[in-house]
Amino acid sequence: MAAVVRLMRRSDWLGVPAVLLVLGMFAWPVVSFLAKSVTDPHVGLQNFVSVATDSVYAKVLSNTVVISATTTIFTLLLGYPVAYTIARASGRRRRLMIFVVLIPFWTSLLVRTFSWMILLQPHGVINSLLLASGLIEHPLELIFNRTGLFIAMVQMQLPFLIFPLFNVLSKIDDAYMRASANLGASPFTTFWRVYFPLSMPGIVAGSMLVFVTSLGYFVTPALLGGLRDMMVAQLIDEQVADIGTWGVPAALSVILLCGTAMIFLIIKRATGATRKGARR
Amino acid sequence: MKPGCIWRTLRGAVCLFVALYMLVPIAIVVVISFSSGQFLSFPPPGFSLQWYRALNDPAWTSSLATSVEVMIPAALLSTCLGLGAALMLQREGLPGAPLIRGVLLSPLVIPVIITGAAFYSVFRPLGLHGTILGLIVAHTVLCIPYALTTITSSLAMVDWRIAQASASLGARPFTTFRRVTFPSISSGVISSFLFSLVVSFDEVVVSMFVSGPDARPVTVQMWSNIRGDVDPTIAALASVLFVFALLILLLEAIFGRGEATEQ
Amino acid sequence: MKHNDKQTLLKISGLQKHYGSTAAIADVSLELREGELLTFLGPSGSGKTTVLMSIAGFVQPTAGSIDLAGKPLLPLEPYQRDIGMVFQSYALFPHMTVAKNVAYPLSIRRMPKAQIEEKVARVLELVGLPQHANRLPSELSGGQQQRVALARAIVFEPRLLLMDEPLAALDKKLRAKMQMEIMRLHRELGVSIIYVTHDQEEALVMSDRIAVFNHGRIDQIGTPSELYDAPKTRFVADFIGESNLFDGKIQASGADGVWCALPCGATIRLAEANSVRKDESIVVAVRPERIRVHHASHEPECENVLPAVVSEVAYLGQARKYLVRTSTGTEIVALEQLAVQGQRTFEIGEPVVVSWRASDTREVNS
Repeated sequence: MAAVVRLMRRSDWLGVPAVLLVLGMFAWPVVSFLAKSVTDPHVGLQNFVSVATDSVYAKVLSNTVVISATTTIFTLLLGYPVAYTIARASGRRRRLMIFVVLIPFWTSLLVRTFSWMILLQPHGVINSLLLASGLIEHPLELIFNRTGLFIAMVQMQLPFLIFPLFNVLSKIDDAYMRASANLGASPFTTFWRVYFPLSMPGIVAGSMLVFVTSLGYFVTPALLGGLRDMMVAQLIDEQVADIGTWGVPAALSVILLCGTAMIFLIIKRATGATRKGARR
Repeated sequence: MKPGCIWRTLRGAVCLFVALYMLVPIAIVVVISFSSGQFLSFPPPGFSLQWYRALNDPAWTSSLATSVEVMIPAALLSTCLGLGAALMLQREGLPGAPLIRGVLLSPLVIPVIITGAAFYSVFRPLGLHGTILGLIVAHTVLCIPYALTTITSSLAMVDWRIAQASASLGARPFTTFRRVTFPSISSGVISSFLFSLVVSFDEVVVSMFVSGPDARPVTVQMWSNIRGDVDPTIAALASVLFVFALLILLLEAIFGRGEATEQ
Repeated sequence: MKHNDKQTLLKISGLQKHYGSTAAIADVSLELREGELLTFLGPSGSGKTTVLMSIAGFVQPTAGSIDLAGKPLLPLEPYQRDIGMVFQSYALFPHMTVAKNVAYPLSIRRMPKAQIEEKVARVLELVGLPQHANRLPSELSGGQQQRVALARAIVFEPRLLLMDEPLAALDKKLRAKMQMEIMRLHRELGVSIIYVTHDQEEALVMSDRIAVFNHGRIDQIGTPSELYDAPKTRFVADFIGESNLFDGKIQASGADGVWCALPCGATIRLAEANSVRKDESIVVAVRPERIRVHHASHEPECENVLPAVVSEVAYLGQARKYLVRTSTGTEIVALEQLAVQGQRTFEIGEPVVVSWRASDTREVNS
């Protein structure tokens, strides 16, 4: 300890309060909470065993993964054309488009979820419009089910896909497209054989961000999802706040964190490998 | 040209759809907040400020006051701590710098539900649960990553030769910092403060686990209301939160890191 | 190299390109003969790249026509034009190997795989990179990337090859080497090339003909020696090689030539001029290497002799350049080749006499 202090320069002391606060009031609470997965109520792995064997827990975990993956796919399908358009625009038009995409990003999660509640209700805006125009006869069930959940989650996650993707797309040199056209490739071929492969790092970065953050979603599935769409964060909340146990929610949290970390590592290894493999 | 036109029209349609998808929900909330009706119907029957007046209710005013009481200290603290951390991390050869940075950024990476549960388990024995202090501590911790990244990128844009010039002219480190470095990063510091205000004001999940009957921010109050009887008061409140965030964004664009034209 | 009997491959008529009120191309017409290497030479913004891009299809001209082998080119999309192009930044696809890059135009044209492999191998051999087929562009040096770009542009045997300042990013020695490479390939393949550059030395070395661009127009098209020895405009005289340029008024004319008076008071003689009316303005150009520097007391037997004082000396290895100033302030640049033995050097401040022949004094349009 003394050695560490001796090695420190004067400017280093400036960061100590932040480090102490985060270590003491964040890292310590999180670690001690996660530790409860193997200490509460008795020491051992029984919490993990119950998570693995109980069908309710299994359903919730699989919901979480499936909903996150589906959200990611829809976000990618909608977000790619938007990111592409923003990357091709310039100046004021680009800034305007970025601003429009940023608005939900800065709007509180609660506000956004609430706005979807208004829109998706049986007597809500969407149904009213559809009924009035005669397209449907009975109100569609858009809330308290997976449909409504997807509609809301995709909207919330779009900025997190669009920005990393746009970042990569805007750096793709126009000269490649021109060269491809000059060499005889139709616009579609140029997109598919040159532009799309070059956009892959952005697709991976954005999708990973969307998937990983979707795993931990709580407010939106709690307010808009159905009982069958329960995601792991809701289960953790229910266990801690309503039931009052620690072991199982801690075990679920460990699983959530490990899942997140594993995805990070897999993607990192995959992007690193493609770069090396091509060299051969 | 023809197949190209089809793709372009399709792309334009998707972009238009996404633009509406992004904007319409919040626009409808704002419109409903001015509704003269009693329910969350759209289109609203008429214009009225009744729901904004309903915000005068002590339940709302006290929770709004709590939010403000928490967000200002939290933003100030996180900005100061983040500034210190950013300055520490920027010196070369700091042992374990990536690890330290990782720890300081971890509140951003850990899902908020886990953070909330963790605070809940620790704050109770410490007596911080249901207190303003507890909320301030929790929010400060959550805002530090934002402060750190904002100020770090601001520091990255500073030309260190001017600090060297100042030192060569005889100024001691703190003087150089006060008179040369800090003015250069002042817009980054302002940005960090403004971002932290918004993050704290909008925080809901962690606040749920830390708040109590005497210390309940407006987001938690909204959360319990939404699950019960919903009326346009929530819409009015949501509009207030939205406008607040928009104002802060505007302030940030004017005073913040956006303009890197300092000397 | 005489190509008078060769056919016209590319014909550009009355080409114009306006951006708002500015004309990037004001009015350009030219013909490219089959098999020749025509250089577009000019400073940045002179329009040479805009014309090239119009041929490639990336710029739509406001007026005019371009015909390739008799067929109109402008209605075609860039990917339909079948013209090879080497971009200034090479634009090698970073996610494809060298072999895949070169094979790209062939696979677009749906050539059978075996044939593609054969052609790719042959053209990589031609540019000297057979063992680099499986490398990525990022692993190659600038010169190697340049050669891959070239290989990719010629592998599908286009009739016309466009080169947009391809050597601009290379250092001087490599550039000289690549110039020779490109000329060799040009000879071996017989493909017609339009070569864009701002480097007049490069143009003089490589071209069959040069088109000099100035503010969106072509000032002069001709062989390198035509442009060098008989520049038609002030711009060409100044841009290609170096010239001493004098503004003067015609004083008198006769069988011996035309005399013109310079503002500084001196009189110089030309061999001939377009018009011989007295007091008419005239611009005169003399190449520095045609000017000899002598000791002040010397009386050379040239038509044009002027006393002056040396104001600067530059040693260029194979030559020495003098900047001399006459008594009335006119500055003249003289270039002395150092091949002759026993040549004496003049110092700064030394009074000298410069001389040159009337036949080396040419009139140029301003």
